[in-house]
Amino acid sequence: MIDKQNNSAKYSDETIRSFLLGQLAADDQTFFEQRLFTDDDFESRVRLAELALTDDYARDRLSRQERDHFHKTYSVTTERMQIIGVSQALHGRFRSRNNARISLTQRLRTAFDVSQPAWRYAFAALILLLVFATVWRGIKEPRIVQQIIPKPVAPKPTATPAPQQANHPNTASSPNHVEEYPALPPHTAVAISVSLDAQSTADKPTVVHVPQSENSMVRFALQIAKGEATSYQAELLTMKGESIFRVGSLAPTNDSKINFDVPTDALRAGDYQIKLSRKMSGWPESMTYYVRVQ
Amino acid sequence: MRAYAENKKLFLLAVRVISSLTPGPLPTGDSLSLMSPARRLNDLRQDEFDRLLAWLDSDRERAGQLYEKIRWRLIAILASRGCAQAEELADETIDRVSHRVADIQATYVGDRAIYFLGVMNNVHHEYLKRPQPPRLVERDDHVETTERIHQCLDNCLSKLAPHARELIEQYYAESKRVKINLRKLIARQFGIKSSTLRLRALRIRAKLQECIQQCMDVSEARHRGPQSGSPAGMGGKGGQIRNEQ
Repeated sequence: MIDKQNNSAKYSDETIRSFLLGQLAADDQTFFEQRLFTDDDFESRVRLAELALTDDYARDRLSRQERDHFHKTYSVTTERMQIIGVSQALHGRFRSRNNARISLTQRLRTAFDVSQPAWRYAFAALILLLVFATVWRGIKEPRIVQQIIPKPVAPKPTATPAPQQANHPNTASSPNHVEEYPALPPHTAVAISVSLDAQSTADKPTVVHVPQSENSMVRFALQIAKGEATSYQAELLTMKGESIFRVGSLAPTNDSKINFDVPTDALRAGDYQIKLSRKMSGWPESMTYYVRVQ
Repeated sequence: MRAYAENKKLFLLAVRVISSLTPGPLPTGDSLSLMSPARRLNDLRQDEFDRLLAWLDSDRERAGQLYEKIRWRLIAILASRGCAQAEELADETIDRVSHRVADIQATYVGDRAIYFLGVMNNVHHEYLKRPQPPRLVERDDHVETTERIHQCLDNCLSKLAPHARELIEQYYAESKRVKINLRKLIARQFGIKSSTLRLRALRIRAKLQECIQQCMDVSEARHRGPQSGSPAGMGGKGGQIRNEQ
């Protein structure tokens, strides 16, 4: 606070006030006294500080300790008592005018001056409080969070085939591309219709002469037992079991037949088998028809 | 301005006579008996006082001002040391220096004000060795003094320039709660910094204090009547305030 090595050191207002209240340390007091006796400008500062001190006393702005020191140390001369009297007179004179002179706007602006550090801290504390309150509320009431933030829906687990099964099929030949077509639209031209029943066997397949025309179909009318009203899946396979063409969700006709339309492009000369499958009581049930394409 | 030093001299002598004759605040009968020999003298001769002023400065006006400063400094230091009789000891110090000026003025080298500080230390040491009298608080004429202060305040405020009066009025009108913020507003209104506002207000306050002090002296002289010996011209200075802008 005080540079003892340099007599021209600057003394703070607090130090000067401490001197006036008799609260300086002994060493500081000595330097202060010498400075006061040799420096006219410093003396002027002390005189002004004296007035500020008495003003603060008159306005009740001193701490209890400062007040005690003020009574004990400062107010010891008639001249000083007169200075105190003037401070009190000034305070009493203008205090009553305070309310009238300061407009409401000025008061509000002064009271809610956001640039004040106190207000800044207050706002920061308020924001922190709100954040903590929100987090605490969220922890205590998770339903509120669920209402605001919907719980992400996890995708349904799907069975992943074993690597060997997926990448290495049991068949020795290269795999054929198998496509499952939906039921063909009605405008597609059906070149030939062939009825197949249980009499067609591997040894005695039904012979079919397929015309070589594009965008035409061969309809296989697969005879099923009467009264069966469920959906079927029909699959065209070679005699070696390689799947060529497949259609699911086929419904039986009124005369208990399943119409399985196969594009003529998929048929080459040779023997084929048509496997018709359905689900009964959770177990697959199938019938096989045999065809020889010429 | 030459009259200032003359008047001051007469005033100081008058106050000392009054102090010894009347049961005024300084000193009381009990404390008077405990005063050091120098304080009890009360017979500072005219030639000693003149010599003191001449030693301080060849210009009597500046000497009077220096005398005032030294006395204020002595009182401030003694009060800061916790001395309850700061004024009496300051006067005692001045008396002792006045008595010694004749011996030292030919040989003394250096800041003359510092000499007072050395003598004051001796006076203070002696004071500390003496039994301390109970501190007497003068309250008899408190109401009357307050009334006089208010009258003098009115008088001195009316002599301030409008700008200075407005500044001091607003500065002292601030409430306790919004002290700092309001000072900023006032400073902004006057187009100055808060620190400048404080300094300017305190300087005007100092001028007011000086004006009121002189007004009070005149008022007290009138109150005591012609027997007090207070010089008639002392209060004259209170009529002029150099306004701070």
